[in-house]
Amino acid sequence: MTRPFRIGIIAATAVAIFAPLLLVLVQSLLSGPFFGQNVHVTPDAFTYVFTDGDFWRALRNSVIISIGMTAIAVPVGAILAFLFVRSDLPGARWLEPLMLAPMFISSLVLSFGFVIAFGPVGIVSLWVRDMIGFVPWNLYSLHWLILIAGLTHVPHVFIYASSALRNLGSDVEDAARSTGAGPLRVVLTVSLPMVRPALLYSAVLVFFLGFELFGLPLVLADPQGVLVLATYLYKLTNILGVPSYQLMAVVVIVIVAIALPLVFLQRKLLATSDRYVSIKGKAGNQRRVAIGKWKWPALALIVAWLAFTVILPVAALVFRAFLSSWGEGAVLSESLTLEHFRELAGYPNLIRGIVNTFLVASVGGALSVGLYALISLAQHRWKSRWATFLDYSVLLPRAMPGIIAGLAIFWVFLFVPFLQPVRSTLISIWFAYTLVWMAYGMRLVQSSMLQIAPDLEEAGRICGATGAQVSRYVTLPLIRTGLMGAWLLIFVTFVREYSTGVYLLSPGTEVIGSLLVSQWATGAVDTVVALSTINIAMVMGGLFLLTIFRKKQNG
Amino acid sequence: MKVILASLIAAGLLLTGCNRVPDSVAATPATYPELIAAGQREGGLSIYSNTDSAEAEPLIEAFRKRYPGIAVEYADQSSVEMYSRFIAEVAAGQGSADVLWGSAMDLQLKLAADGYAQPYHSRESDALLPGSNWRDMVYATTREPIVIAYNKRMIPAAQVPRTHADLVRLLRDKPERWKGRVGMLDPERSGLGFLFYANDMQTSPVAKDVLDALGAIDPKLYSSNGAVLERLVSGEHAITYNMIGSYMLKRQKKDPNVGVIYPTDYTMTMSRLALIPKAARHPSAAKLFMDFLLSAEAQTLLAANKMAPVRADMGDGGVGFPAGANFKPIKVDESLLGELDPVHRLALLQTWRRAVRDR
Repeated sequence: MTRPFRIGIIAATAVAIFAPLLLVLVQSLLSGPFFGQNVHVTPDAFTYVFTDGDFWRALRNSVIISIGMTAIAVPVGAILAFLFVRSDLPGARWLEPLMLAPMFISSLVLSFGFVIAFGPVGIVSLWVRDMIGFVPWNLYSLHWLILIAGLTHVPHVFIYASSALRNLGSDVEDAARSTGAGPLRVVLTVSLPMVRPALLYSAVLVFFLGFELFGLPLVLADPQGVLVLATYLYKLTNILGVPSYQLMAVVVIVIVAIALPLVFLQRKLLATSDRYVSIKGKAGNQRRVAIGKWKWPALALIVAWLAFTVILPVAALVFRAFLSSWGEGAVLSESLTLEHFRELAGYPNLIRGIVNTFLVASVGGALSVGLYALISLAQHRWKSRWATFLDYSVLLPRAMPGIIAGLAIFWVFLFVPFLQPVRSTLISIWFAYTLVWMAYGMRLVQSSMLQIAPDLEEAGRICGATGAQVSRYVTLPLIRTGLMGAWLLIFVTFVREYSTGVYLLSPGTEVIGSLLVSQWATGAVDTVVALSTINIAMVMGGLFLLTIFRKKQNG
Repeated sequence: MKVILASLIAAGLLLTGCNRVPDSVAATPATYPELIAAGQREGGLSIYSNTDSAEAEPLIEAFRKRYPGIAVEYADQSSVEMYSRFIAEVAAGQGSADVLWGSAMDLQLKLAADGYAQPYHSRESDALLPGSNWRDMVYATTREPIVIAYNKRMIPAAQVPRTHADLVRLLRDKPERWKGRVGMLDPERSGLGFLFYANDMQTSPVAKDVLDALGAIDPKLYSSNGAVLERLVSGEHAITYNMIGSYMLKRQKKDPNVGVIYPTDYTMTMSRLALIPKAARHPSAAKLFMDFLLSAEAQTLLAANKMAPVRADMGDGGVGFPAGANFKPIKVDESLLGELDPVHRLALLQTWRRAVRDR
């Protein structure tokens, strides 16, 4: 890639990132909506938020949750990735699609699955209570919130770690095995350290998702009165009666202020990325590591994680979709019904919502990955301030909680003249999704790129290829698996995304998420669970097909 | 880089310039057939609402049938989204909804008071219950009681409270039994929660006792209807206080375990309020829709979804209000604006905190 081309791409990306952010920054310093009348510059919003006890409580809870869930998700995700990708674990191919399940169920709905299974009068809880006389856990405590948040974010780490591990030749592991290291030692001292960039990236991202966490705390922390930043925003919306954008903007500025040092730290830790090169000019063969007697405990670990994070809550949710009543004192066998599905069938725009969701997630997702790859290539192997600048920038859109990111992007589309025509099309929604999930998709593409030895690309250059040809014929083919993984990740992320697009949705561009939320608001949880059941079935079907496709391809 | 930043900031500053509320409103045609013809000519109608699209569908369908030339776009969203979207769209001069129809009564009235609404004297005005029309700008379109709901599996019929005072006695009698078993919307985080709380306090002195009794039993506070209703159905909560009656009645139809109490001393009612913005691009179609919304036909369709009529000639429209219910409507007038006054609002929230949260 030529220098002007690189700069062009990076500059365009920066404009897309900073337009909504600058609006938020300006907004935080004003006395009212930036487009309103009689608005003046004032630090009042900062004063208000910083002197509000609830803000500090919410911030503290968010930090605790973020740290806790990162500490759970990263090790579990890394170990599971090793087991699935590099070990001879029995049944791995069939279990793997299930790994992603928590990612594609709206967290609002999944949390309700937890309430139905493990809540004070949940199905599992009542069953345990009948046996031992009491329920030995409290689903609504902060510990449980952290545990659930951590375990449901395992897939985010898994998908990064597994794609990096897939690209890792077996030579390093074989070398360790031949000098007498046991499987556990190989994992901990060879395989996982080799994919440290992927793990670090995912750790930072999971940490950030902790700040953005909304569905889980809304359902699980509300009853205990535990506020987190995203639910604190509700208070800010309501405190003055009319939405106070300046107060919400301050919260975003705080999160951005936390984000920047974190990116700095991550960059320091990865300063010598040459160490992680694993795809070299020499042909490498990939063999699975025999884990011998560890096979069964490993399988037990996976099944336990699956049972707790996916199977029980999802089964409870699906079961709930066929019940008219549940909980303490309810006779489930008398409550079976198909009514909720019948009701759902009468929903206007249902089919359109499903079609739109799939369009944005599949076609849109592929376009997004293409875009992420292009931006990553612009930055690839370029020791320049521009590249550094981009590194700091991409995480910033995710520092805005979904609702605010959505509002800010809506403002951009509304007030920038040449964007106005696309505001009420799927393009604006796709753009919003692409922007907030940029850090995610790009990291995935980049962690694959880091593994390619520079000599491969240099070989291309020596043979007379231009920069663009090297990208096209060397780099891109080598990260193909990474790109596929990225597309899969983006697909499931877009399927369940909603809050970011909320202000951009209009009649004709509804997505499943918007239907879910409007039903939730009227308390129609019956239809919410029915719709989620359909949603789950569709995505599971998709993943199943993908597994078969991959198997065929490998065979 | 500096150039990019500078131009972005400049763009931001330019944007702040376009902030005017349009004040030219087209005159209403003299006769109704002319209004219909004008509406048909406009050919479109955009409605922003927080009424679930499934509930609104029969209404929209009937309107389409009556005026086939008008293509209706119905966008349902939360009341806060609706407000934010609307004021930003108007400020950008981009055109916005032709009808705003929402249950956040205070926000709707504020929009009208801030000059966003255009006056229209609906031809149905005379048929409406008194207090349903604010200055020909904001119309109440439904009557929905604010009820106490309970789970019949948890509370035996004999103990079911009939009045607010009964509820206070019940809660105070065995506080241990109710600890964590009562849920409600959080006035601090939910706009509706605040509306109900503020009007409760205004309506009767007994509300203060309820507040006090609730404070003693650690009520669970929610920011969304779905979360609190589901917990009532499951029996996690035995009682939920100040809930929107129509949602409870709809659930009761499917799950007979849901009990609904209209306190006989007083039962507040809320209304979904409709207004036509000055910025409406299809003002005639909007006026036709407003008339339609208040007509017997539309009110009957709404009543089928448990939203009772505001017409004096329709009673409860078959929703099934108990005889002798003592309804105290939340007034559609300036008092709603008083609740948005920051000083007053913060004082009320302070009272709430002392009584419930910080106890």
